Amino acid sequence: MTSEPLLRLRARPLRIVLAGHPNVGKSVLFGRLTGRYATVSNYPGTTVSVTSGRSIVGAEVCDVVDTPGVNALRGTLSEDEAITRRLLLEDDVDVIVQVGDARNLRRVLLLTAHLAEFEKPMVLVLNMVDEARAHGVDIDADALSAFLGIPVVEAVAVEGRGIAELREALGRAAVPDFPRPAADATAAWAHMHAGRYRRVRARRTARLQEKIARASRDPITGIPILIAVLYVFYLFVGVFGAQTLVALLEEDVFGRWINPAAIAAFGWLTAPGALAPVTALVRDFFVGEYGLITMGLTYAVAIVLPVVTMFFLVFGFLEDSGYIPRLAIFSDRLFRAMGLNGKAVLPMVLGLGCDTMATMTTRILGTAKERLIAILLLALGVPCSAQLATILGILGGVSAAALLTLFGVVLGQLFVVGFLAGRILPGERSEFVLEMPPIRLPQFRNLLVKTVWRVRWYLGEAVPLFLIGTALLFVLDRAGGLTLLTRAAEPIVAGLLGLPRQTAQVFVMGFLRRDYGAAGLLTMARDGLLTGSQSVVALTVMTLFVPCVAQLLMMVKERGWRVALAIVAFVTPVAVLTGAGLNGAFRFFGIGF
Amino acid sequence: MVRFGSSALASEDEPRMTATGTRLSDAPAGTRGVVLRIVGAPPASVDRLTALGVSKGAAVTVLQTYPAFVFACDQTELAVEPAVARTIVIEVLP
Repeated sequence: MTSEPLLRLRARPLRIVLAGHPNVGKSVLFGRLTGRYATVSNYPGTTVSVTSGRSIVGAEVCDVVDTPGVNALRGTLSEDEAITRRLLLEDDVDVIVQVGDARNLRRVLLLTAHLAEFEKPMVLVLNMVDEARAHGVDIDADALSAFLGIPVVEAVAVEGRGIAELREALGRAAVPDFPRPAADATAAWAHMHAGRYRRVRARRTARLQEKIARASRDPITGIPILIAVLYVFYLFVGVFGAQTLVALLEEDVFGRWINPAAIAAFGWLTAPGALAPVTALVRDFFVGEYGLITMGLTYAVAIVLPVVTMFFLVFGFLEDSGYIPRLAIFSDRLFRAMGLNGKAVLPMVLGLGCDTMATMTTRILGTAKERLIAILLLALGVPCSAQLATILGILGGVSAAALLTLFGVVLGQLFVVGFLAGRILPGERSEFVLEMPPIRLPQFRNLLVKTVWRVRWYLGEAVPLFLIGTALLFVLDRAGGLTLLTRAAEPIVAGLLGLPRQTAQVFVMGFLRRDYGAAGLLTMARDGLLTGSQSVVALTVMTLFVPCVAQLLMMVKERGWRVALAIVAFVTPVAVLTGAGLNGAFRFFGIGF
Repeated sequence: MVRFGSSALASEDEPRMTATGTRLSDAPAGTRGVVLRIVGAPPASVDRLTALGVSKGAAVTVLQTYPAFVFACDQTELAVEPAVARTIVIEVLP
């Protein structure tokens, strides 16, 4: 590698793999090298799949590959670690760039020893040197480079510092030439050499970040902080997003301008005589009861978009602050009763953003049993962002008691099912060991980029499905299928659940996308078709009901058809029976909201 | 080849260390110490702790003991369940 000039044209682009511990900034570096965005957060496990992009180094085009973080590459490996290991073993890897947290030289060197076994040219990036210095850690990068036999670059990737140096160092990448330690002596080897090349000065008094970190994990201050966080979250998403912004967009922008304009535009489309039914059909297809514009687009843009945008913004802030993993400290005991451990709080909370992505994040859990339970719970009762916001939007307008009833029932259901699954399913749970990321003030730029990126993803993913769903409903309605379906579901919907008959179609919409169904419920509630108690029953069933198509496909991808179908077969009756029980209880005790 | 007399992942039956040390789970918040060894943990658990930096010689500070056990190891903050804290033996520093 060192003897070959970079300017020689290769048969294929140089392949550079970024590898390193979780949460050390690999994705930030990836973004800086390629100009492509990879989701960046402040907790381990944000990157769950391999992303690649192009970068120009010297005069050469390179493929840069971002990988999920690893703690080890030999011994007992997690699913993520196995993925990264397989990738590194491939022949076409030309350079491994190890990204390490400069504060933690011991761990960095431990992983360097593992990576050196792949016998590929390497560069070591010591990232976050600014934080390391603030912690009193100084590293002699030159001496370390001489010892390891590879270039060592210091960087602050979020500020773009050290990137030019890294590009330059890539040309000098070399196979490490230090004497490899024996497998069982690697930890001691890393300890000794970290001590040799690192100086740790006495620390200054606790910084603000550490005070916040302490307050957020100590139960006495941590629980009130959690309640405050949830409340602020509710204010932003449930009140400002689901009420203020939705009202503005739906009633003013769509209600007064877009829809009347669209209806007027299609109003011109009337042909006389024999063609009249055709033009009427076309008109209804776009602006009728199940019109692409009046229903599909209105739901997607006026009802769900403002809600998910607010959600992504607040959620992104929490992600980048490093707060979310600290919830594991409080919930570990609870999750252990369910055959999981505190780490499971990560996929569960991420599920509030999108259950489909969260299903993928279950890979961070230690055992197959834990992953299965987590996927089951996500499918059963973790509402996704848009759904959560519509719940807040509908029940926030009913009463706090209605909201608490719904969350009480759903959380209770999750706990009971988790508790039983933990006992019935075969397999082991792993021990709770989780690294806490440092508390940081989120960077406004990353927050903005991440939110915009996620909103664009939402628009690309959801809007087409909303439109397809609406078109499907339109066809079903015209073919008389909707009436048939509503009638067939009547014994369950009207009888067992005590809901208006047309709620059946909302449940069908909910399968296409949970938020689509939730938006349908919101419209029904707005039109006064649902009482407070009916809203609670309908939303509870919708929350527990089958996952959306995307989530189902992800479940199939992660766990196979049999498991996915078994989960659906389990979740559906549970949802209906819970709704029926709730409806019965409301009637029996005469509870109304 | 760099080799050391003893492995950092010394097992329970290593005689010269058994007399000293405190289990991390017995240490109150604020305790400072150095990791001596990991005992009674399955190999997978030892692997994971080692990868996170918990191995012989690492400096530890106990930050919190309830509801989960939280400690700083070198520059890493780790939360573990009590059963895991029991397997980590430290030498308490004054």
